[in-house]
Formats: sequence, C-alpha cells, structure tokens
Amino acid sequence: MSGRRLESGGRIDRAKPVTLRFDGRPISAFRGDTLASALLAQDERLVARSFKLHRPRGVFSAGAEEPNALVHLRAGGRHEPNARMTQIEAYEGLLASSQNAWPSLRADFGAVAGLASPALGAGFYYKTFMGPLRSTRFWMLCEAAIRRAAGMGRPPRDPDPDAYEKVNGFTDLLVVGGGPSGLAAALAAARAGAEVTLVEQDFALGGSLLSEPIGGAHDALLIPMRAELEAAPNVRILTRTTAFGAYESGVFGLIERLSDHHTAPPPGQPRQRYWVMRARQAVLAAGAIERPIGFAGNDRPGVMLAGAMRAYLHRFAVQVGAKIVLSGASDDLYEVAADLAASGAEVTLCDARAEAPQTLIDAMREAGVSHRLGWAVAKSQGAREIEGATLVAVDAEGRALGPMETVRCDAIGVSGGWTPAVHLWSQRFGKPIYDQARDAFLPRPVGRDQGIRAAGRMAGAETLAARLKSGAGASAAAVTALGLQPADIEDVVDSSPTPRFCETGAPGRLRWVVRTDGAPFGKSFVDLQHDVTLSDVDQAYREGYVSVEHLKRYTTTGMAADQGKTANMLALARMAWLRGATIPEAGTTTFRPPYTGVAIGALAGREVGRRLRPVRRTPLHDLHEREGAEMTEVGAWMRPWWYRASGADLVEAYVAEAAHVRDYVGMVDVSTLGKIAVQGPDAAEFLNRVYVNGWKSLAVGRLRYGVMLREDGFVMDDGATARLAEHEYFMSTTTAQAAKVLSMAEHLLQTAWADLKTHVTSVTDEWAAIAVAGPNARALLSSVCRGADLSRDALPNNHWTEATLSGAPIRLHRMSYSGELAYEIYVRSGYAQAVWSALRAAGAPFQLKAYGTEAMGALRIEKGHIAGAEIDGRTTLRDLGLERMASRRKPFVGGVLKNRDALFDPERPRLVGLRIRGEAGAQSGSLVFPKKGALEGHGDGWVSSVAYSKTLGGHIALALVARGPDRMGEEVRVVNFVGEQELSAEIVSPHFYDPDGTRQNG
Amino acid sequence: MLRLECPICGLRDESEFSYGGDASVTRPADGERAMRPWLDYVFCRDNPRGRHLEYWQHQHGCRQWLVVERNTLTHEITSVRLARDVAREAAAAKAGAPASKTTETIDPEPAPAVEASTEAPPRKPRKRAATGARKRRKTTPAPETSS
Amino acid sequence: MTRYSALAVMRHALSGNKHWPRAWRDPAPKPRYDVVIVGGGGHGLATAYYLAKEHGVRNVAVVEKGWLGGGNTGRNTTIFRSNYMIPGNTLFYERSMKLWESLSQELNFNAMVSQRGQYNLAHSPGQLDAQRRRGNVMRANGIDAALVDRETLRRRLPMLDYSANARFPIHGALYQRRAGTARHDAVAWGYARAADALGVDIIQQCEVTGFLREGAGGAGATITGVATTRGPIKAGKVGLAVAGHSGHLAAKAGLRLPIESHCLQAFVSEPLKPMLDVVIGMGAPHFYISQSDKGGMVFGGDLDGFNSYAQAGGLPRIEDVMSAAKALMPSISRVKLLRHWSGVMDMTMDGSPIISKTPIDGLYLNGGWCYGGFKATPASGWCFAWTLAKDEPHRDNARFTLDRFDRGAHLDEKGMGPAPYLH
Repeated sequence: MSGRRLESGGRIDRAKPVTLRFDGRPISAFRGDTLASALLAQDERLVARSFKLHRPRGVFSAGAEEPNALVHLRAGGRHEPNARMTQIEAYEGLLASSQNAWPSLRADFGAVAGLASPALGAGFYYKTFMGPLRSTRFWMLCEAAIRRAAGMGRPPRDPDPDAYEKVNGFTDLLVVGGGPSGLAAALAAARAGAEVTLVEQDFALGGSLLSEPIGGAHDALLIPMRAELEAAPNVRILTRTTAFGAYESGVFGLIERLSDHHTAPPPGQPRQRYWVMRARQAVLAAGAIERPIGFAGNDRPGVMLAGAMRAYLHRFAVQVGAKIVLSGASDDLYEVAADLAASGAEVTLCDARAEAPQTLIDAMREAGVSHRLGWAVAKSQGAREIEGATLVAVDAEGRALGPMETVRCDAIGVSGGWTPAVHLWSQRFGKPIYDQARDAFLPRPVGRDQGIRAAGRMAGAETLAARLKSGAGASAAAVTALGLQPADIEDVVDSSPTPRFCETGAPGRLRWVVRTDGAPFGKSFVDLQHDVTLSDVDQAYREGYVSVEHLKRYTTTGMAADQGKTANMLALARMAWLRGATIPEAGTTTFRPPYTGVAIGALAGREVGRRLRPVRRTPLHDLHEREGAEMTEVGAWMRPWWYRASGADLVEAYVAEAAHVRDYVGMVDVSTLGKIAVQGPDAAEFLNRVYVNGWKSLAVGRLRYGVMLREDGFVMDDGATARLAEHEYFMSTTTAQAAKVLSMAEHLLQTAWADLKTHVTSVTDEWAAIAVAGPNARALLSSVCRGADLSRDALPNNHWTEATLSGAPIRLHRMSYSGELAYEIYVRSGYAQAVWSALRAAGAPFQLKAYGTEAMGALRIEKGHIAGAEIDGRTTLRDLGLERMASRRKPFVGGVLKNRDALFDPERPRLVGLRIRGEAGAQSGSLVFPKKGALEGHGDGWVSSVAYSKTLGGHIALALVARGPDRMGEEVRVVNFVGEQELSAEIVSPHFYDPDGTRQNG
Repeated sequence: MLRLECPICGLRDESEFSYGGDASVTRPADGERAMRPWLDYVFCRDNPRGRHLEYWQHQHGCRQWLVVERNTLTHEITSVRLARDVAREAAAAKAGAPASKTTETIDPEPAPAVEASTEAPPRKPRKRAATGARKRRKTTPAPETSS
Repeated sequence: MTRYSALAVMRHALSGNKHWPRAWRDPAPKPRYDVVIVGGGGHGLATAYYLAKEHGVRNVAVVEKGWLGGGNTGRNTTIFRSNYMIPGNTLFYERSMKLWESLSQELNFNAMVSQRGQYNLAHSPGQLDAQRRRGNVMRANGIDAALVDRETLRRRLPMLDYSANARFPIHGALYQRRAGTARHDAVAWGYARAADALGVDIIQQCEVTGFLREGAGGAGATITGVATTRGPIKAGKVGLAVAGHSGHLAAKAGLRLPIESHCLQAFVSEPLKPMLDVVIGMGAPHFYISQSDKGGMVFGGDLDGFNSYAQAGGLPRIEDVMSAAKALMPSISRVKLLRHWSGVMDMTMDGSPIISKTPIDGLYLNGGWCYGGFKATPASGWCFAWTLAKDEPHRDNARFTLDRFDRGAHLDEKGMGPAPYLH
C-alpha cells in the first residue's frame, strides 16, 4: 500500500477496506481507521486552515483535543461543520471537505492575512475600525467583511433529516472513561455486584492501551478485562458516548453517537441518543491530554503530539514520518522514540533535560536513535510541510544557550507534559488545585462526599499499575458508599506489564523554546485553532490584561471550538512567567460544559416542531374541525376562532356570528375555562378569602361572578362560581389563569390557611362547557333538555339546575358573558360531542349557529366585560371600574396592598368605552391622545380590545384612559403609529349594549 | 437538574415541580390591616447566599406544596417537608401545643431505571390519593390571551 | 492615554507590538475618595467614567473583588435594544441606545456596536396586539419601531420555521432597526481605560467586606466608606453596582431589598460562517439568538427559575432552550453547542431596576437589573453618576426608586407580579 501505512500491525480491520472522499479525492482506508489516520496513511499532511491567519495545518493529535483537523462532514441536510477528523470513523462513502479555505486548501486566498499578521496582534480590532463619525456606520461596514472572514465551518442550510432520542437513565455507578483506570473501576464494581454504566467516547474500549503494540503485554491486560465486562450482566457499556456535562444531584449528560459511523442512520434509528443519567455514584477516569511546546513554526503540518505519533503507529499502523525529530523533557518520550525507530523511521530525540537515566540513554543507542541531552527544537523549517528542524541547546527554562543546528526531517513530535482532563470534575466542584510535583491541575478534596471520584491520570496517577490501582480504589470507595462489599481485582493489577522506559515517571517541563531574553524566535503558537502566539500573550500582559479571564477574552486563547484543551496550560504558564508568579497565583480557567461540542438537535430531542409544547384540545375539537372552524391558539389550547360558514374571512365571519347571537341564538365551546371543585365545610370561607366579593350569602342553586387579586393587590382573575351543595362549590377561572389560580389556592390551603377544612381539585378536563346565548336560547334548550323547568321564574339569571340532554346528565348554569339570555351547559367530557350534536340537530328551527372566540370577544366588548387584554397583570379593581365589588367587611387576598397611594393616582388609565368615528376600525394597542396637543410620550392611555358591532352600527373599543370615567363624551385621538393610522373617537361607558341587563335577565 | 425527595412520591426530577419562592417569610394574619407587614411579606427578601428555605409544588405529581431547604450556592438539598406540616407546627408553636404530623418523611429509595423517552411514573402516594388533574408538563405562558 | 487608531495599530505593528502601554493603571487604594463605586463591571466603570467626564468628580475609586468585567458584563448575550413600554423605562433605555450609538468614539475603544436590528416575534393575535402597543409607545417617544407581517418576515428571515409543523406559528414581529449587539468585554475595558485616563482609580482584587459607618446600623446611619480586603477606604459617597450580589452586600449595610438572585444561562455554538445577521427574540417560549462576529451562535432563554448564586445552570432549562432553538431554526440542529455558562441576576419584584439613594445616608444603589443589565450599561452609569453627583435622580431614572413597591408604583413590563422567577 502507498504512503505511510505499515504492512502489518495496527488495530484496523485489513479485511474491510473502505473508500472515503476528501475534497473529492478518493482515500482508501480500513474499518477501524479514523479520517485522520486514513489521511496520514496516504501522507496527506495539509488538511485544514487556521481561524485567523489561514495558516496551513495538519493533524496534530489522535483524539478529542484536536485543534487543527476540522472538516465539513457529509452534505445537504446532514452537512456538519467543524467535525474533528481524529474522531470521525472511516466508513464506506464517507464524504469530507476542507473548510475555511478559498478557492482551495492548497491555494487559500485567505492566507494573505498572514502578510498583515503583525497588525493583527492581540485585540487589534478593539483599537481600530471605529471611524471618524460618532456613529456605528463605519464599524458595521468593516464588520460585514470581518464576519465573512471569521467563523470556521459553513452553517447547515437545510433542516436536519435525522431523529434524536432522549433517555432517562439510572445507574448505581457511572464510570467515565474506558482506559485502564476506568476499566479497573468498572470491573471492581461489577464484581461487587453494582449496576455499572461504563462510558467511552471512542468506538473501542482501552484508552491509552490501544496505543500499545497489538498482541503485546498490554493486550494481555486489556482483553480479559474487556471480556469480563462485556460478559457481566450488571454492566452497561456505552462506547461512542461522551459524558459532556456533570450536573447537580448526581446527574450527568451523555451523548451516544449511534449512527455517526454510517452514511445515514439505519431506517427508524435515531442519529444520537441523549442520556440524562442519574448516577448514585460516579468515577471519573477521563485521562490526560498531552501539551504542545511553543517554538517557531510549531503549527506546521507534520508537527504532532508525540503520544499521537505512537497512537498512529500502533493503533492504525501509520508511521507519520520517515525522518522524525522528537522534542520534550520526559521519560515517556523515549518509548515513542524507540517504537518509531523500531518501525524503521530515522529518529532524533531531543531531551531538554540536562541529564537522563543511563538506562534510557543506552536504550536509545541500541534502538539507533540519535539522542541529544539538553537540546530542543527551536524552529520548524518548510512551507506547507515540515522539511527540517532547527535545534538548539537550552536551559531548564527553554532559553537558547548556544548556536543552532538544522537537521532534515518530515515530522516533529512534541511533548510538553500532560494535562489531566479534569473538565467534568471542575464543572461540578469549581477550580482544581495545582500539583507542583506533577506540574498539573488535579481534583481537590471537596469536603463532604459528593459521590464523585477521580481516578487514573486524571487524578495524577502516572504508571500503568498506579492507574489501575487508583481506578480500583475509587471504585471500592463508591461501592462502599452504595452499601456493597468491595471486590478485589488484584489479579488484574498484578498482570500489568512493567514499563520498558518510564522509570521515574517525572513529567516534562519544557513549555517553550525562546531566545535568551525569553522572546520567541518566531510565530510560536499557544492556541493553534485561534492563532494565538506567545507574543500575543506577552502583549496582553504588557497592556494589563493579566488575569486568566482577561487573557482568554483579550487574546481569545482557549475560546475556540477545541476549548483550548491543548492550549490553556501553555498560555497560563506564559502569563505566570511574565508576572513572575507561580502558576496557581496566575490562576486557572474554569471549565464549562460541554466537554466537547454537542449537537443542538440532540439536546432538543423530540420536543421540536409541533411537539415543542403540548397542545390542549377540548373534547369537541374534532367536531369543530369537521364543522369548518378556523382554530386559533389560546395559551396551550386550540379553540374555534371563526367558522368558514359564517363568512369569507375573520372579520366578515365574526361580525356575522356576533350579530346572529344577538338576533337568534348561538353556541360556543367554552370548555377551556379553568374549573375547580371547591369542597369542604370551610369552602365558603375559602371563597370569601380569595375573592374580593362576599360568598357567605350565596345559596345552593345559585352562582355568582367573582374577581380575585394577587397578593400585591393587582387583579389576577375573574369568573363565576356556583354553589352545588352545602359544602361544595364549582369555581370557574379564565383559560389563561387556570393553572395559576389552582396553585395559589393549593398554596394558601396548605400553608397560611392549613386550618381551613377545604379541598380544591382541578376538574377542567372532566367537564366540557358549551355556552348557548341569544333570544332563542331558552326555547332551544327547553326543546332538548329533560327534567328541568327553564322558565324565567324557575331558572332566573345566575341560577343553575340539573337536567338531561340526549340522555346525558348536564348542569345548566344560567349566566351571560355575551349580555344575551344565555346558559352554560356543563357536561362530562365523554358526553360533550353527543350534547353538541344534539343541539345542532335540534337547532335548525331556532336558527342555531356555532360561533368562535372572535365573535365571543366582540359580544363581551359590546357588553363591557373585561378579559385577558384588560386583566394584563398591571390593572387594579379601580382601573377596571370594579372597585365597588370589593367587600369592606372582610379581608381578602390583596385587600391591603391594593390600597397603596400610587394605585389611586388620578393619572392611572381606567377602563372606558370608545366609539370610533368613521368607517375604519381601531387596532388593539393603539394609543389614546387628547384632541389637541402633540402626539408624544405615552399618551392618555391605550386601546385594549376592539370590535365592529353590527348591532351598534359601528366600530367600538375598550380602552384604559387617564381620568377616563370623568371624560365621558370627550373627543380623543386614537393613534396607531406602527400602522400609520389616526382616528378620532368619543369616550363612552364601556357598557355599550343593554347596560341595565334587561336582555340577559329576560 | 435538581432532584427532590417528595415525602409523598419519593425522589423525583426537578421538571415535575414548580418553584414557589421564599418560604422564610410568613404571611400576615388575614385580618392584618397594617401595610408594612404585607409589604415585607410580598416584596422584601433576605435572599441568602447559602441555606435557603423555599416553596416547591409537586405540580406534576401529588400537587403537595413542599418546604425545601437548599443551598443557593451549591444546590445541595438538606431537607424536604410537606408545607402543611411546617405550617401546622408553626401554628402549634404559636399556640404552645405540640404539633401533630400528618405524614412522615420517607427514606430515599432509588428510583426504578426506565429506559424509554418518558419519565418514570411517581410511586403510589403513601397517604391520601394524589389530588388534582395532571397538568401538562409545560403550559405555555401567553399573558396576552385569556378567556 | 495613547489614542487608538488604524495608524497606531500600524505603527506598533512595525515595532512588533512591543510598546503598547497599559490599558489602565493598577493603583494601590488611597485612604479616601469622594466617591467609591463597589463593583468593577460595566455599570460601575461607566458610573465612574461619567462622574469624571460629566460632573468633574475625579477623585473616584472603583473597587472590584475579582477582575473587572468578570461578572455579568462578561456573561450575557450582548444584546441592546430600547423597546420598553412602561413609563419610566421607555426613555431610560432610549438614552442607553443613544449612548451606545457613539460609545466607541466616546471611549476611543471599539466596542463593536453593531446595530443589526432586532425582531421580536409574535405567535398569536394577542401577542401581536401587545407588540403593537409596545411599538406605538416607542414611536410616540421618538424611538424607531415597525410592525412586520408574516410574509415580510418569510422574505427577510427565511431560516425560520413557517411550516404548518410549527407549534407556535409566526404571526408577525416588532422590529427595531437600531437594536443590535456589542462586544461585552470591550464595553467594560473601554470604560475602564477611559475612566482611568480621567484619573479614576480602578482597584481590582479588592473585596468589600463591610461598610464604615457613623450612627446606628440600618436606616438613620451614615455610610462613610468601605472595609475591604486591602484595608478601609473612606468615601464621601458609596455607590453599589454589584450585579447579582446587591442583596447580600446591602445586607452588610443593614438594608433588605426587594431583590432575589437568580441564575440565567447563556449558550454559544461552534464558530460558523454567517448564518444569521440580525437579533431574533421569540415570544413563546422565551428565546433569543444572534451570531457573534467570531461566528458563534449566541442564545438564551428563561431563568433557571429558582433562587441561585451558582454560576452553573441546570439541564431542564438547557433542554428547553435547545428545543426552542431548533423549533425556530430547524437548520441549527446539527450545529454543536460549544459552551454554556450562567450569571447571577438581581431579580426585582417587578422586573425593573433600581438606581436610587437609599434610606442610609451616603449609600447609593444601582441594581436589580434582572436580565436587562447589559443593554442598560451606558445609561445606568450615566444616571447613577448623575444621582451620585447631584444627590437627586435624573428624569430618566426618577422612577427606579427603592420605595416604589411601598407606594405601588410598579414598573412591570411583563405583568407577572411580585414573582422574580417569572420575570
């Protein structure tokens, strides 16, 4: 095979070749490859362009920390920007293309930014683009250009065709990380009999063990562990799953990528599954991330983390270069060197330390590695690819000591030490603590046991044996906390191979290679994705942006799509060095979820589109649709707005419907009203306390209109309540406030009024309600109702009676919202359609028509009844002309605070009616101004509800107007600025129609 | 996501509950005619950084109002009690008599694992039957629409 | 203060950017100042700047317990607008708008004030009526506003869901052309640099632990300075501008406030090429979104809904916000959420702020910003400076008093009543 793929070895399935396409070019690979390993195998070095300077970039890592290798994945509705090559599994037909490059990756026009780069220093945009004039114009011109240049991937344009699934998970022990320590933790808990969930972001378990030679001693450790876990009935293994966030109460957010390794999800399968995992205990074993080293040109394609080189060698059988220079200051670098040399590469190892253990030096000689102590890479040479490395002798601080020397090479491996992946831990417990010896931030004790423990490299354990032990230890503690007997996994720990090279386990300290005065040799990148260099950090320091938060925000280091997984420590160390402070003094960045990016669609799950919120339908919904009703949203409910049979459009229809009710009879579905059963010996007392008006005198068989306030004295709700029996009342609320009223009632009855023998129950869904209104209402109902005398004397207004209608037991409330002779039929939801149909059937001779909410609104406006537009949470009894309802003889909710001075300000708008002059109607939300004077400020008030009244022969409105009740007959202007409309109107009483109520009492 | 140990229904998710605000303020007696006590009750808050007594209602469960003690910095929950018990005790304390509890707080038990896209159903109420029709999980606030 | 300009950027580029001066000094606290502002966020720094600039009060210190701009100034969704309906709010936010429009030149610091326009969607006839009322109030007060119908929206914002599948159909929107976004950090830094140049001492890493006072605690006492982790600092007047922490700081002065602290989350996606060039607000459920100049989609929704001082939000709200995002813009589904964080908000009992003297002599309060704090920054500083300098409120903050609840003079834009978690 061509390129850099080795003839044998690796954990790829050579029996399953697949073909991928990158920028249209076919790339042959195997199952088990990632897009990154496939491209490296074909010696494709240049794979991306950087964010700001559009510099050529190559694959830098072998995992989730990848800062460079981002691509467009798939196309059309499945297009995904900024996908990490290092985590994209190779599958047949994989389609990827480079992003942030035009016209092509090799010849990217944006690279001219490189020429201007000196002027593009940290925060340069805060200092220019302001323009001469005191306006935002000039900046907005520049912004348009900047925004086209900025941003990485192209956004998706089409809706996502795939489905996502949310699962509520429960587990005894959640283990995050399938590396050695995670495996040990899971195994120990499994043996102890706990329900274990093991989460691994890779598609294979093993973590760092996968970077070891296949068939070696490490496999002898891995394979039995994996087998035992896979066989255990009490272990759930979730691979391709990222624990993206840790939340309170032991809840973790997981994303399981079910189908991302296929071209498309299998039929009926979701793309991803979002787990809300409730874990009684958790062991975090997320491992550690290798750090880069700051030297000139440390971003060129071919510069790669040393550990990644080993991963590509052993896991993917890819030798990333023929001539490789390694630079760092740690023992584990020697293992990388030896393995690369063994694979046939020519290796130069620069260990910046002054000395190293003799055994290591001997080993290098045996391996044929040219070895330099006290040396490091100062510059990379080449253009789009590495052609050489300039080496220099350095001191402990990475400062150049002597002359430079350039060697030819095609790859540079770097190791600036390791950063434990404490992200999840830090999300829950805040700042980690700096460990001087390990030069790393580690989880600290969090006082009271929170059931979350760290293990492995993440907890500072270095050697393999130590990591296994730490996993087992954390697991044992969790198992004990679960009340189980810890189990022993000594057999596993003992089987861990002894390391070939790592003797002291001492971590690297080489952060950068710089001039003697500490200045960089050239562009030395800290944050590869955002093009932040050591010089940018130096400049931020100079300008006083010295806190970590300021540094991040001013230079944007660590703010890119990779969240600075490789960058943060280097930037922090540089700032600490500049300030002459220790690293903990310089601070640490706080980690925010998610650990890696999560598709918004995955978290949205199925609650999108029409399932965004539940829809509430009345028992009559189907009938309405069959009868040609235009439905409308009323809060969560769907209600008939108007009937197509009544007119060509909304206006024509509602005017006709309203007029018809006045002339004959109409019916409307009012099932959405909140209905509350109020029961108990103290029910009357309860009503007396929640409503402003009195209830003690209400006799069985009668009903009464009531208004209630919030505790702060503003009007909250209104509605009628019927007394069904000595100790039983039936309360109705407005549609919008139903839930609030019930909750308030329950709250008072369970706290301040716990002594009241009263119980409230929502019966909204149990009862349907149909209002029948109009002169013919009595005649119609008498013809269909059995067992009740509906005559005026037998059933006067505000009384109720029981009856049957087409066999269904109903309760007939005589009350009027429309101002006509009217009844409300209350019937069990199950009978609702039968009753409605029976009314329809019997209705013809009485000219019965159904009407919708718009006509209902028009009727109540003619009558001057208030509704949601007037009860907007800001109006008082007085504002609405209802103060006379308030009883002076008893306390009620809001009764004291309603008397605050400002609520009696004469300038407060109060309810009036408006007769609009002329043919055009007013619009709700128009403002009311005096006849004379400027149209400015907030005016005298505003129009809350409008209607055309055929009955009154004109346009009318309800409005709240300052001093309104004292201005009857006054001419005012009604102005709708946003509709370019100015009308004149006369202030009148809001009770336009039948003010003394002869019709409704008739 | 908070998880509250409802004395009636057991350990349940935050999304089943609705928040009711500060529970450390006491509502004045209904007969109270002075303005200040009502102003303090409705508007003034200690707003502590740390231990906070607050009302929650198990709206999509037993509909009981609860008094929860929670740390506003860490969200650690240290006690959950039925509001009616707290109220009765307060009343009894005023009267000087010992309070009679209606329900005893139950020990936490692990909720059953449910791996469907639905919440696990609340366990059978210990005492009185769950009251009130289940409201939908989310009802949309639309202040401008009514009646 | 070296003037920032394209020329300066070029000149410094030639010398490798090695000679940029500090943006602001790092002074040690003096024993006494005429005014000490507690809180080095946008509001505190703006207050100090306008005290020095407009009122010649230059012996001023801003004390900040952490790093300036580290609170809600750096944790919001960077939107500014002036579409407020209630008398007392309307003109205040318009003053802020006018200050935004020339802020970069005023401070000689590019705050990236981008008047890209904001649409507030209405999802029912009732909501459209409410938007019309709001729009009319704006227009009558000389503020730009337009009511846009569904068809126009479909043309201008094709990425939204107009299909029958939408749970909340889009009926129209209230549009404010002058609304937009600004670079939140730059606002804090710009004010800091300009205030510093006028002699204001900005003292970071200095936490206020108590107040120096004469007379008894609570009302009737006189505040004469602050006790800090860097020693006592005497002051003629002390102004609090401490975002979500007004409550417990005022408590140190013996003051109980009509304020609760609540957690508001904000979200940002991975960086993308231009996807959305305006700000969109959704009426049901509450949701707002824009795209930053770096390319990240920046969005948010409602409060977490219970008292909180924790700067980390919970999953239920996260799910709500993601659902709203995808319901509004179906194409955002495969875009990756990159980071979510949260800020602690001062939530008042009516959802409107407080800029006022307190019953305690020498103590002035700027707080209760709920989640409208960022857009208010310039006017908040301008009006608080006025109030501190003249000992009386300016017309534009005259109604932002502490005693308005006692009097019943609420400023309740939402009509939700005294339930901070609902505003």
